[in-house]
Amino acid sequence: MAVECKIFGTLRLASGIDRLLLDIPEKSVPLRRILEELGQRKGLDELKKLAQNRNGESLPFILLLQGKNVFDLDGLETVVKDGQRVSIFPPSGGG
Amino acid sequence: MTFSRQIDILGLDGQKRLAHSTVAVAGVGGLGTVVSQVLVRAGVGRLILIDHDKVELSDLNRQILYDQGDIGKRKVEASSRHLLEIRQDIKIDIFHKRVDSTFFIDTEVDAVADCLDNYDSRFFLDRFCEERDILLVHAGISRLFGQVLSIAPGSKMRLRDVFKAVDGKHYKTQALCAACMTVGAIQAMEIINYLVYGAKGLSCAKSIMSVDLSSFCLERIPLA
Repeated sequence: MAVECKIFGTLRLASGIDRLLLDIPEKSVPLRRILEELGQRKGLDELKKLAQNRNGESLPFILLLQGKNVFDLDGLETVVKDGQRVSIFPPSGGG
Repeated sequence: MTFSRQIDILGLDGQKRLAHSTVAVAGVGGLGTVVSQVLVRAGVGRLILIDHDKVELSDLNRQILYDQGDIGKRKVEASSRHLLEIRQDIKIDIFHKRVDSTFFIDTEVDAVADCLDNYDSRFFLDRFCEERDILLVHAGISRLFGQVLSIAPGSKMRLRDVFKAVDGKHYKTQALCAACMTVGAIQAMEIINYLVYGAKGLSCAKSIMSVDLSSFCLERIPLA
């Protein structure tokens, strides 16, 4: 299956990646697996650590699946299917 | 005439709507000093400024209303004084306080600008706007990046839903003045468009507007 991943902010700056089409052999996988895959890339190693995050802990990123915060779904266990879009956005907290 | 160079853009009716509007600016730091100045110059009739902090030397790189003489002074008082130097006819109410669970202002408000520096306070402000059915225009800034998101009156999607699970604590972020001015100007323009044209004037209500000054990229992140 193919999953479109959009990367923003400091992650984009560190990795040089703004959009990535991830090709995965399975028909569906948990979001945690997507993060592990992305975390292999240079500049995205923070996502590998994020993949080990337990649900309920504060995160440095907003994770959106099809525009919806995954913590309104099943967190990092949310099932990602072919053709879906994952957006990873480090929200700016300063004012 | 103060507004002679913009009246063709906003129209006479639009200018009158601004003059009869009240906007609350929560946080008068890097974003809030830009937002409040843009709103005053645009012709908003009344501002409510909310901040618990005092001006420090390290604020002067980006908080455009302040100067050396303001160091140690309350931000709401210093910003109010500078804004009145721009337009004497504007009404300004100041509140030297934090936005927390007890936050309340007993004034009719048309729009609220979230220029705060932590998500815990932002979520209290979100609840305040939800209960009062007021537009909330959120913005955040960090380094060369920022985002703007509008939560329209009556919206079921709230700020705390979009930013769920994000660390709510305050931290001192790095930020350049140019980033504060760019993001703050978009935030202020969103409020002006709402005051002049109503909810149909909003551009950041169904997507996060991501601002990236490392590549001069403005990009929407669609929300469901």
